[in-house]
Amino acid sequence: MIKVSNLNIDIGQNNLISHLNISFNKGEFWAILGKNGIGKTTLLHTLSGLINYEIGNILVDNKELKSLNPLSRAQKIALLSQHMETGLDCTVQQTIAYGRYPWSKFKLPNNQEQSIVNKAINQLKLNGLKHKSIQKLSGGELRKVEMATVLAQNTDILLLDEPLNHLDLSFRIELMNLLRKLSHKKTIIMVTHDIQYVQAYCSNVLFIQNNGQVVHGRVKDLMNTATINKMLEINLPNNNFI
Amino acid sequence: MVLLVIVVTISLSVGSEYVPISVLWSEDSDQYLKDIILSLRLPRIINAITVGALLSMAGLLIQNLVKNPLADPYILGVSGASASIQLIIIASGIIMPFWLFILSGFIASTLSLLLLLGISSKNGLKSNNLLLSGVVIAFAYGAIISLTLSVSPASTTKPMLFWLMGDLSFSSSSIFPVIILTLGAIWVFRYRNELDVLARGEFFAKKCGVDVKSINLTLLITSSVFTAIAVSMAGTIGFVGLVVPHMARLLVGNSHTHLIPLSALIGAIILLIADTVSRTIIAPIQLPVGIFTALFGVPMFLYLMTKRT
Repeated sequence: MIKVSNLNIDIGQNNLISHLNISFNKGEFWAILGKNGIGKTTLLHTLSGLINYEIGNILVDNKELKSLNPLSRAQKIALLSQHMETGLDCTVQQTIAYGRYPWSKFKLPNNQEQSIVNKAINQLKLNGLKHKSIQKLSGGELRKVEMATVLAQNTDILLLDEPLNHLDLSFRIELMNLLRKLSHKKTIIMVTHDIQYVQAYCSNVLFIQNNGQVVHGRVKDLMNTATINKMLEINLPNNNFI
Repeated sequence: MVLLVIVVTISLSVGSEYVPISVLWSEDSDQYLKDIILSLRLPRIINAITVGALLSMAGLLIQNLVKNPLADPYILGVSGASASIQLIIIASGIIMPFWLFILSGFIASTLSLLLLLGISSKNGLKSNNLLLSGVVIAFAYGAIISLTLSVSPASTTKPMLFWLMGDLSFSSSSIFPVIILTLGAIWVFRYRNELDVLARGEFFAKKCGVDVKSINLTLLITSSVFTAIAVSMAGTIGFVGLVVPHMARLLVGNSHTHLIPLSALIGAIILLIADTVSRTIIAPIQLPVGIFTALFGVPMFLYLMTKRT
């Protein structure tokens, strides 16, 4: 669970988030919506502990995020970033296994470690690519590998920055079904532009507006044409965005 | 490991004079022959193993640090500092104990490393800043080396060129290289998990809970210390630090649990073979070892590449 109080996020002179008070609870599947450059990724990275914050508090399981060391933080929060680094060459299986790094000091027996990695591989349907070099993957395949790495990290909180990017339509639906299922036992916060998936799969939504103001609530209360048009400054006709 | 033992055995026996290692346990053999093996060849073999292993591990760390497979231990200029000061010492004809010669190179490398850190860590220690600053600093040392060679008397030019191409002939009996190599290998092996994750990228490693800033600093200092020690002991031996990590990757993949020991082992074997050939091929004349590291290493590397393809 993440509890945010009075959080301010500034980039230079630009106030991206102003006095945010919110709780992201276990069992909730959140979507963050907003225009390009409005601060969605910055908010996600701040919640992941990778960007420091000066004003406000972020409590993760009742502990101040800033006070967690990198390893304890990675045992609680996994982040899917928007762009994937490929770095030096390695196989799909190895890459996914690196997601286990936060737990490597706990020395689980090899077969248990392997079964966690295999589960993530199965969930993302990557069995046929296990031994392939990550430098030879397509954009969509790379996205699945990144997602599997996040799942192998086995954390209670998943922060996902545009997880549907590069994925084909059928896998988008499969992934959203998987995330909805996972969200029953975890806290999931996802940045996206796909409002139809938010409507169909998420429980809560958070809109970021130009002035750093944030509006949040239940999907069933906020995901209607009038609110979406106002928050995203668009002009959708009626309720036909699904 | 078996290959290393075989190469060590051959290397102990051959040279400007063939001395079978059986003289060591034969009671009626000449003390002079035992001295050739124990006082001349053994220290040189130990130094070759140490320098080869250190350079390979330094190359592995540097390639990981700057995320560039073409990086070698000399790319950040640390070796250039050591080579510059040591060449100036040779050129000026100053006579000093060998340990002081090594120490002077090591101090120069350390100062260069501090300069590099000062310049490149202004906005956080980033791979690109580090690489760019290191390459520029290395150019400056290249200029100092060229200047020193240009103004030196002809009598000192040849030893200086040998030093630049790698020279293990200064090796002395000391336990120091063995201690350095053992401690160095254990130290690097401690970071095998972090190295695995960092190889994927710094942001990825950060997300996975690696303390990237402190690990990068540790890797930079460790690889620089390894390089400085290797250059101080044997000059600038090329090729080993660049290609050996790739050879190891081709053989065992990317897990640093296997890469670290295998890189050290291959580096040790290649340098030992190269040094043995360099001092025997036209004995008693000794050639710079750097020539042979490339001559043996290139075909081995190409063979592995072809096999993989």
